[in-house]
Amino acid sequence: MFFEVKELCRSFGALQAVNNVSFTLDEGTTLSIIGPNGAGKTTLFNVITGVFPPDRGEVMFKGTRVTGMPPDKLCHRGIARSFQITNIFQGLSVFENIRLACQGRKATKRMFSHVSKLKEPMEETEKILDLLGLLDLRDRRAGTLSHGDQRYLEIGMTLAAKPSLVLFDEPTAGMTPMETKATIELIRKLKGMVTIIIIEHDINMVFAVSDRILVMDQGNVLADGPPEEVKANEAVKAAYFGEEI
Amino acid sequence: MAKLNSGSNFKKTFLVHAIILAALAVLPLFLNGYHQKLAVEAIILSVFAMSLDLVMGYAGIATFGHAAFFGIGGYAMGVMLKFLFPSMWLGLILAGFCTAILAFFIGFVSIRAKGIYFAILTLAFAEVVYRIIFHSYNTPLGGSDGLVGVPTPMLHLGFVDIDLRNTVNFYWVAVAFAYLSYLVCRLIVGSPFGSILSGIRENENRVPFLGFNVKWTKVTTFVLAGIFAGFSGAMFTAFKTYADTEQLNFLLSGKVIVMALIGGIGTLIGPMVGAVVITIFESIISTYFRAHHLIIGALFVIVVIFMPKGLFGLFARKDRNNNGS
Repeated sequence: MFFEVKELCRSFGALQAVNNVSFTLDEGTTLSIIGPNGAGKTTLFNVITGVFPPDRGEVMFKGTRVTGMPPDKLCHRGIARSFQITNIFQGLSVFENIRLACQGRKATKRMFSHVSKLKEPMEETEKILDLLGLLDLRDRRAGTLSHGDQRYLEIGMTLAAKPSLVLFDEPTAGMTPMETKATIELIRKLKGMVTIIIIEHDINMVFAVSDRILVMDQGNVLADGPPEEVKANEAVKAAYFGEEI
Repeated sequence: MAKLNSGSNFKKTFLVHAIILAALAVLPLFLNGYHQKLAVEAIILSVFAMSLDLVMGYAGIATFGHAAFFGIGGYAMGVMLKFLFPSMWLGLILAGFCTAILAFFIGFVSIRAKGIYFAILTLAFAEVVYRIIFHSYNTPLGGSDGLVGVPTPMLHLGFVDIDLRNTVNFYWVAVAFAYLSYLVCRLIVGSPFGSILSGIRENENRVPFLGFNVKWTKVTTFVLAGIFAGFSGAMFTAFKTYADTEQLNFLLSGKVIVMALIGGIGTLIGPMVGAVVITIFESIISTYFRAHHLIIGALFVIVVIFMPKGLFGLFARKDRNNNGS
């Protein structure tokens, strides 16, 4: 199995944020995690990516146990994530943000050459900026970009690590409808190239990109299956207060 | 075009360096004995201030105990020259070794704490080092009297021996030492390692998700900065012919922060300029006012409020050479 989460639990005091969550993922699939606010989606990401250790349960990646492994080690193994709240290097240029991310995936033997002489990260950065449409803004300080461009940069930094599994936490949060549309296109381009787990509130996006949808509510898995099956699930409708999805 | 630009940039930088070095080289010929000595001290202290810039300006870690490394480097040089072997090189090696171990220990233990908590821990450790040496009366270190009577050795360069008892000779060696230290630090901050430091300064929490180990990067930086502070302390002792507890004192830790901030942190050259300005300024005004620290304090307040990038920040162009554009 490419990726597996087994009976994962994490609580904060009396609050059971993630309760006995299990799912598996084949290579190349795109899984969306949806659920109301406070359902435990981001906590699940945080436990998977080593921000918090789980109280119980296991995370397996390519047959190896990676439970509680620190984020830098997970990154080297091929798991990268983006953040719900933009988490970039505000004072560095757009180019420097991506280059730093490209530089991290493997240790360089040329630790004391000038960074601009590192051929691979420099070329890779150009490619990613091109993919994101940020080439024109390469020298701009990241903190001065529009919210949407900062979100793209966030996605770019995640991809720069060349992960085989990428976890996007609400990539379209705060984006305009146009930007959301562009992000859906971007994720579609990535489908098949990497395995994706995506937390998203934009239902159009969820149905446009997902092979499978996992619904969470109050820390529990409410439903897990193909989009059509989840759409028809009564418990899911109830969790969304009867809202038609 | 890019190549052409980088070539002309290199020529320009080379020319600027050559002019500054030439000016510094002839400077002592126009100074009297007292001012020559002051110039040596200022140049040695400039390396100390630059070493602080590695941790504070580049990695964004505030430390209140940097004088511990300057002092230990000074004592290491003193012990080597007075009791072991009269060699500047061996003194510098011992100073580097001792400060690396001390910085590793302090850094490793304290690095889990962040911000002001880390700064206070470094202050506490530096104070422990200070107290231990201050009370070491019955040891060769001399307690609060300091380690006095350190002989000034010859500097063996292989092809020539330089008599460091001559102030002008020491001055030239100090300039070479400061310039080499600057080049090495410039190499560090412009390297892949240096860009991780910028990442830590800007957003420490994101850095691990890009595949970097923040803890070890910070400890390594702390050790590198400690070693350079140790080297400058060692040079200071060799020049002054003594090592005393003032070199370890928290007042010096505070003063080096003032030097770095007045010069402009995150530039390497700024803190060097700050150290020279403060050392010379202090010497001039202390002849007229007893309360000269008051004036330095006022200068500090003015710089922090009106020139947050320091004196050097007024002239420095924004370094965007790392972008490959």
